[in-house]
Amino acid sequence: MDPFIEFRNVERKYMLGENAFYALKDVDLKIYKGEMVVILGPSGAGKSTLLNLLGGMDSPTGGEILFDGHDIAGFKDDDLTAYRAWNVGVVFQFYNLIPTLTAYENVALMKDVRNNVKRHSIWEKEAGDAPVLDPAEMLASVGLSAHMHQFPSQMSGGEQQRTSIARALAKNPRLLLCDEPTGALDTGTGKEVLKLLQKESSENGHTVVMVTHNSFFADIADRVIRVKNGTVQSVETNDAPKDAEEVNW
Amino acid sequence: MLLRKMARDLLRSKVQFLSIFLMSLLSMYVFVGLDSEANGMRYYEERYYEMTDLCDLWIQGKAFRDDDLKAILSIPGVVTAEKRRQEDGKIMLSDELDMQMNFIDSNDISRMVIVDGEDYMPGENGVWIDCMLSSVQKLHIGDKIKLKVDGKEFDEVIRGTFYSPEYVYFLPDAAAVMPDYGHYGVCYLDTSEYPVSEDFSYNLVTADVDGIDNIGGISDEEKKLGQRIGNEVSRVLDSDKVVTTDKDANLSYQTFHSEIEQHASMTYLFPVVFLLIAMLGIITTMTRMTSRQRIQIGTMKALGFTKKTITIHYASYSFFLSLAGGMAGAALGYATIAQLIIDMQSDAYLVPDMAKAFSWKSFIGIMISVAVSTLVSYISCRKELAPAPAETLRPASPKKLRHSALEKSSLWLKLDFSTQWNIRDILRNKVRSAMGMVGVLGCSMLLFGAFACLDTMNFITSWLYGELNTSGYQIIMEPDTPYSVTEEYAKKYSGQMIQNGALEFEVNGVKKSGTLTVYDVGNYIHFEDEKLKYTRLNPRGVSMTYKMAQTLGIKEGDMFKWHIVGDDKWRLDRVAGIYRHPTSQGIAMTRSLFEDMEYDFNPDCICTNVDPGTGLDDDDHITGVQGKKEMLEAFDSMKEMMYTMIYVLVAAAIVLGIVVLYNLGVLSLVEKNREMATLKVLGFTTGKIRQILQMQNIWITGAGIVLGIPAGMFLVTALFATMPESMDYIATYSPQSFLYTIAGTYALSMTVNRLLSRKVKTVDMVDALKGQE
Repeated sequence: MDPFIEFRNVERKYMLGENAFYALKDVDLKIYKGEMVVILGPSGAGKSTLLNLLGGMDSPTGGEILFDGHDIAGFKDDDLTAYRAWNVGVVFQFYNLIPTLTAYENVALMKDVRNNVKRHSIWEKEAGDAPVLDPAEMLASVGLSAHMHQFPSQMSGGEQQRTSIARALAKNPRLLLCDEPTGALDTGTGKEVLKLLQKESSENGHTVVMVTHNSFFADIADRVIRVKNGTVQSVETNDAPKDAEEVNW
Repeated sequence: MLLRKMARDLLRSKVQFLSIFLMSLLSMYVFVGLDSEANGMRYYEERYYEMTDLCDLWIQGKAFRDDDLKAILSIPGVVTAEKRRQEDGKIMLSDELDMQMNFIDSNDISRMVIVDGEDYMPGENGVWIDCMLSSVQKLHIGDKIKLKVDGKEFDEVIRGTFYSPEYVYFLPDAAAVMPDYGHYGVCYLDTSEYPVSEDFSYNLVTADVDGIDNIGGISDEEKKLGQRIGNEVSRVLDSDKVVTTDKDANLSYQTFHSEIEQHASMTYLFPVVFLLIAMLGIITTMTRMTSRQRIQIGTMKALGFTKKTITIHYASYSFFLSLAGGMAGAALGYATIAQLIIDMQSDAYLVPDMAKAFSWKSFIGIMISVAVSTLVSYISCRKELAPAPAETLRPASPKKLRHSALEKSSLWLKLDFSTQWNIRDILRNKVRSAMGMVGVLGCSMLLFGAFACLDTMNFITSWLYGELNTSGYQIIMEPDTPYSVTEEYAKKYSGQMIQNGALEFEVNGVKKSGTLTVYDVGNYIHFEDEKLKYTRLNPRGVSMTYKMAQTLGIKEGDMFKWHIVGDDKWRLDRVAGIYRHPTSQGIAMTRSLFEDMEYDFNPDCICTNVDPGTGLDDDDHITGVQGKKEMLEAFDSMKEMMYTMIYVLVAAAIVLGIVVLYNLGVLSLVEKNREMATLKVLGFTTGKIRQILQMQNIWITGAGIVLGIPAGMFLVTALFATMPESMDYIATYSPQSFLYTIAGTYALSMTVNRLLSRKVKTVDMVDALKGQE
């Protein structure tokens, strides 16, 4: 099977004065369509950099990143924006909801994203059958029908994260990226969020990539990529991923 | 959704955004108000002169006959010409009032606009009087009035009242400074009504010239054409005495047109100040806002919003605010300022139906204000928009702090904590501190400007009637009074005789009109040089006013040509001295020098300190007597206008000060919240923290005032520089103005700070010291 996403010899370096600092170096990895991947590593390992490159939020300083056969590594700003708008949904650790918009409005914002993105991009054609989903339905699917018109400041952390997931899924994205999605939540609420993400992968066929430092989450993934010091240490396949409900931390 | 976000953001930070709205409003309020007023005056000036066909040239100097008129009409370019007799007479009401009389054969140029009654037809009897005289003196159509001209009284029936384009602005005599319509007047009568038929002759010809229009003032080409035709008139009439003057030398046209030009140039002065402050407000507010919303910007980028969409979103904050502020300001300015000034101008200039008029410049002004605000907003937030989303999603790295030279010096250690804290805060928040200073600068500039305008007006009156002219009374003689009669009056009242006249200058081919003043021996009229030091008229040469020398581009020792209006003899003289005069620009000389030049000394005014009593007005040789009190009163109406302007300036200064200082104060408190909470946790009392905040406020206010006062001086100088050429107003500043400005600005600043420092009490130590999200 051809990989959905492939990193070939990817590097991301930062210049600190005259010295180069490599956040990622010689990274090769493959992610397949519909699988749930957990990227594991300690603080400063390079997992957020990896996620940023996957999400088109940053560009590598070397190597190739193939997304469904297209090398996004050399994309210019506009094309990267179109890539994000058509393909990527992001769930942040601290939810990153717009505080002055209600839950419904935060999700409905995705319609604005599609309306304002560069037209006639390659993604529009390929993701053309992925319309923006109804915000009310999305919020209902994460169990937030009753909180639809509340502002983020009126919701709990779990509710905010579920809104964030609804927002990410509203685009019907081909790739769902989650950056420590339970990092700011208690165990019970975290489990609810994990269940939602797992369901997206197993039942709805979305490719989900989750970045975390929490090794317990390795159990729910189809594959686990361990990173350390900017390099991929190992890639493990999990033949029988656990149900999110069974994970404890 | 982004529009909703913007609306809620605006509501959340309403104080900061209100300042942008208010500054845009103030800027357009003043601009559209002044522009609509100046544009209205210009529109109605041109429409009035076009409609009534104001004559282009006035030809005076001899008794004109029919064949003279024919000769003038034969000059190529002269389209129409009319002859008339113009004479100063009286209207005998309960008092005897001055009345300029025009005996006409026709009224095809400089046509009257009839307000009430019948149109004038050649050969008709009766009199047409100016509508202000009719209204103030309660004269009606059909009323019989007694007129007097050339010593002869005669009765006339009022047939109509009118506005005349030649009498938009007119004064009763040479000594008058401001008009007081209704207490003197103008009338038109047919020549057949002249009471002394054997003496009748025409002394004025008015002409309309092809190539001179009534639009946009007198151009250089039109001036040259007028001069060429003037020369032709002298040639075809074969007379040295004939003098042709254009509209520039006409008191009514020149004063009204200069006023319009002055208002038009003032239009830009204040709005630029407010727009500048609005821009600074936008820079501060938008920079703070986008840096606070850094994570939101990163999120929007990560979600797939294009940079363009996010840029438009943030630029639209200022776009909508400045558009709403600009439009509200324009509507308010049009309704209030424009109306207020046009009403005042309608009292000074007699133009039928003069009204304000909205111009395309106002639209452009609003568009520029919106465009500038939007652009400034874009520039302010592009710093947060430029990096990749991954970078924007991370909290901003802390500012790189370096120790200033002062912090490294030994002096630093001697400073107390409050001083050190405030110095660091100012140096590390330069934009915010500079913005505060600019707000105070604007406030003190406007306050000082307002007080200095009043100082200048007070100075002009005391300069004119306390230093330059120390007489208590001016006796104005009737024209053509024999010298011996005037001399007798001068002896009787121990007065100083003065001859006033109009003349024309020529320097390097450029002609200018001015005044001639000839002084007999006496001690009532004094002169001051360029630096306002007392000086004496040079008995051996012609002295010129400082402003006229500047206008002509000459200085003491330079040569210039001049001639008296009504006398074709040109003289070439050297400027023998420079003196200053606030209201009359031209040359002055002693009687003996004037007579040495072979001119006859014909004084028209006597200055004296002996009270001539009330009966003198009735004397046939006396036009009137003006006491110092009345002369000073003439300035009062001018001062009233100035007071209105001062109220507007003071109100603008207060609004500006409150808006900018409150806005910055709130911003500063939000930013210092953690620091204040820390100080509270460490044991500082609320009072001590307030004291620290107050200290910075005192410094910034002081610096703003130090810069604001010179800016106010510049503002007043620029304002008086737009005065007409005939006025030499010297910007004056009294010690009280400095005091009031400093005290007023400090009081405002301290009040705002006191209001704000109440919030120190409400700083929540637990909340403020929680970790940042």
